[in-house]
Amino acid sequence: MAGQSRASRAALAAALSCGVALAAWSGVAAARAELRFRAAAAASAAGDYAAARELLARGLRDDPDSARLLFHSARASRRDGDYALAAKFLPLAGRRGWPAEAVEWEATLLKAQTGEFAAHEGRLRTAAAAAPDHPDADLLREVLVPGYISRYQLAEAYTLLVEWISRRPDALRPRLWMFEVARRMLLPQEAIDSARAAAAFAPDNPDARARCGQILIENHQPAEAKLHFDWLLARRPGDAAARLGGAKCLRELGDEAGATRELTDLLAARPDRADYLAELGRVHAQAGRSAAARDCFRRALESDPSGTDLLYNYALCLEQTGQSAEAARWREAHKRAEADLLELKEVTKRFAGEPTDPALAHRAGELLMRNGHEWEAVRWFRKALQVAPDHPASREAIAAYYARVRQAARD
Amino acid sequence: MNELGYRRLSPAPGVAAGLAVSLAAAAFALGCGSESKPGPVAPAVAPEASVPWYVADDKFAVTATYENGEAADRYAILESLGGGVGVLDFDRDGHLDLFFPGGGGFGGADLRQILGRPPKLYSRSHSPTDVTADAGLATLAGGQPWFYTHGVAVADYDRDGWPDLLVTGYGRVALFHNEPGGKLGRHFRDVTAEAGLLGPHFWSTSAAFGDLDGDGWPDLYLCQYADWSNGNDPPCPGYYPGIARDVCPPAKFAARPHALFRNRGDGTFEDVTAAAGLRVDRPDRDYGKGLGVVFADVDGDGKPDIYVANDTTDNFLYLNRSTPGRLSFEDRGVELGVARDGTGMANGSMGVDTADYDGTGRQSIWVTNYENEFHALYQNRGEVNGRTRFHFATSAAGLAAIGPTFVGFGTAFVDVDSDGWEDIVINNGHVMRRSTKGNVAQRPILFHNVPRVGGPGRGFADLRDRAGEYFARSHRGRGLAVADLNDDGTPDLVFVNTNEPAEVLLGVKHPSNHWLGVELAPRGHADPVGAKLELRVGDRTLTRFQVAGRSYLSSSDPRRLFGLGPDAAVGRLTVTWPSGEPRVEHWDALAADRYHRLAQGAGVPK
Repeated sequence: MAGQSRASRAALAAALSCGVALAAWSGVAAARAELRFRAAAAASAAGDYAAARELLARGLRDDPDSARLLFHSARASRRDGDYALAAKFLPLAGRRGWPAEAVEWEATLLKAQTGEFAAHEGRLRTAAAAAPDHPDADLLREVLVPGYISRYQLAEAYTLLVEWISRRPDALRPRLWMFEVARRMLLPQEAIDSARAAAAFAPDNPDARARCGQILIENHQPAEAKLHFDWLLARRPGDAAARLGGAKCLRELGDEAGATRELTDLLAARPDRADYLAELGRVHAQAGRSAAARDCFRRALESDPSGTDLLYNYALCLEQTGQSAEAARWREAHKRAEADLLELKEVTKRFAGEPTDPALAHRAGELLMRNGHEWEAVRWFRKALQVAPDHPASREAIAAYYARVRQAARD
Repeated sequence: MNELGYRRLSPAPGVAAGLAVSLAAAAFALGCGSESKPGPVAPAVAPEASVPWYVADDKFAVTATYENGEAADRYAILESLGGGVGVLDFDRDGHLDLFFPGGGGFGGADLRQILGRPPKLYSRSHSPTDVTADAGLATLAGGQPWFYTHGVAVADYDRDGWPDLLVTGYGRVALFHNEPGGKLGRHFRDVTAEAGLLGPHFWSTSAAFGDLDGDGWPDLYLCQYADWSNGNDPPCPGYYPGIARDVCPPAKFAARPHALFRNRGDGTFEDVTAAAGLRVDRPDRDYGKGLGVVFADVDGDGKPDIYVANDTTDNFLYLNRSTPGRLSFEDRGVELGVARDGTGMANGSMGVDTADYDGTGRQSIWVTNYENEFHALYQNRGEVNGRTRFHFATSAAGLAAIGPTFVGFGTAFVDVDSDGWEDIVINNGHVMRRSTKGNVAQRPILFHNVPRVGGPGRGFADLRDRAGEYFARSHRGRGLAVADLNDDGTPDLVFVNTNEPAEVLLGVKHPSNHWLGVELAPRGHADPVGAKLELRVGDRTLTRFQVAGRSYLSSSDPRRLFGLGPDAAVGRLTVTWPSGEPRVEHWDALAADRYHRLAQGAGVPK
């Protein structure tokens, strides 16, 4: 008995030890899983969706049936632009018991981002307006804002962003979007303010710095813009966009020699870049070297034949160098390009509202084709054919383009 | 992140939602070389950081308020243009007077009647200062009420030696001839009809008088704006999302051809717009929505050219090819690069002036523009290959540093510190009624002419924070005139703002810098516009020009000022006259710190 009793006690003690160890191990695993989930949530909140997805995926390896992990993997994938994976995870989350209403909202956001924006915009807008301070309202806004931007509904995007920024004044994404919207709406001061705020909130964010420098130099604030370009170049010396921005700053600050040096360097690597040539043209024009400016603008036009700024300045340089007849010809080209650009804006805006009208897509293609943007033109002809596969004018335009390409290859 | 996703996001119930003729002419004898009068004792204050450049004139009671009638809530674009001011010594008592158009409003049961308000004429030598009625300006001819007015141009159009007035506005203009008689010794008589100016002026804004064909008689350019009317008055949404209604943008309306009148010399004018080569009957109907005009010889051929600031359409540069008795112009703004900005975009241009800001002896062109654009400095680089070259120098001159938020109207080159370099003043204010940015009223700007940072030449630094209390406040700015009201050699400023009293600011005299003032007196009261004045001061040559128009809806003191810096030793002053003989003559060793009246023929001819 005594022996049995000792054996039983030993077995019981062993079982209890195992149980405690198991419980301890389970507790540690659960705690680790929770920490990993919170890290994923923090990464999502910071806009680092790739990191969030990675953390969630590790969680799913340990717990493939977790409804929570499946749901948030779907959301992180959608926010990262991986809509296919989001569409795979979401029903799984539902089947594993994640609340149906949450799954349905997430599905609605996914649909809105994958071609059904118009169908769901109203509902999302209403929901965001109904509970503007809800922590998830930003999830709705971040779908609505780019949806409006892509459809040229800039006023709607602007209004939503004003409200968003008033509620989350220190959030980076709405500031960057406001920069974009204000720039497109030709509200430069708003764009400048947004970019400045973004760079102030995220001084180590190269994207915010680049946008700030860009909008500032576009609006002739060279001293401040140069600070951002210098910051970028200190970290990424080969950043050509920052070097071009810096060259523009040097010109506007009166350092024409410095600007010329920088642009000459850039052109050594990319001799045909229209934006480098155009900027060097502006440096020469500012320095009073009309002939040199003219030559730069001419070369730039070879790459960007419909650049209205280039056409205008090339014609002006031709006039200044005594080539009046030639200047008149290029002024006419400028006038045509300007009219085409206006029409293109109008057509693409209308197409955003009437995406089933192939005639609008075809007209956009025609305008781009005659202004030298052939590949973009083909893209629009194809868009017309997506809408109306038998659209004869677009078929003929694409055929004519490829015939020219083949002929050029043969020649 | 909320664990429950969007659970609580379902909509809650109910939650959805200018001196036309002479200053002190009576004190000056005609044809006696140069006569001078000393300037007043200047206040001995230093232009230190704590001392403003401008202070309010608290001794001259001006209460004129330009009213635009917006209280009727018509949201008519007519409301947006505002008013100007004219500077003249109408009774030639040696004190400059100020004329303010009154604006207008809307009346009738349906508020579709366009009404005018009478102007105000203030005399610095009378008490009370408001002499409007005694000067005969309370009504139009026959006691008819005033029309809705905007601008004023001052000139001695009949060469009788007395400044006359032209008032612009909606539907017509009014020309007032300065005549003897009345309580003040002088009064104005409405001679619009007999002068032949009751023509089809749809909506006239800025106007300029100047002798364009070298016959000595001042001709008249009249800007026209657009075809808004009660019958063409669409409702327009606000410029920003969420604003249901505001004043329509100019793009909603078509431009109207401007008008050029040749002065026949018999008190009448002849419409020569088409014959002179100006824009009429064009297929593209691009006549320019004219707001500002200046007569200035920008190509240096001795003839005043016409530059017009147009709203949202190409600005005009009409190069003068006239011969006496025959007005002729070439439309060359686009070719010479002064019609658009540096990227080839037409701007919403309002105010304009010209000056030699960079010491080259050439007139550069300065234009104020709409928000989200930049004011335009077209630097005159002289003639190459037979063409005058201009360079869009706004950013290189530091003038873009104020950012794109201003809507600039009245503007002028002024040498505020008498250093011999022309500074710039701008009156700003928005045209729209509502703005989410709260910038309907805006601060005026004073740019100080400084050596260009980082390179040769001149640039400008924003001086508004040191300019004085007025510059610290926001206004719905429109007209602006420059005049040395107290004859101290420092240019004073008259600001006209919409629906608030006009402001007269006196320039604070620089304690150590000297100056020289000049009034040109061509033979037979011929028009002096187009004259060139070159003054040697040390190793510098200061070049000033007699221009007409300028700024916005306004007419400034026609006397020319030279800032001499600390050196009171004045070298030779050479005057090139626009007409008459001798064409070029000079004066030596004129005394500093006073005005001189230079009569044509009294100097040393070349």
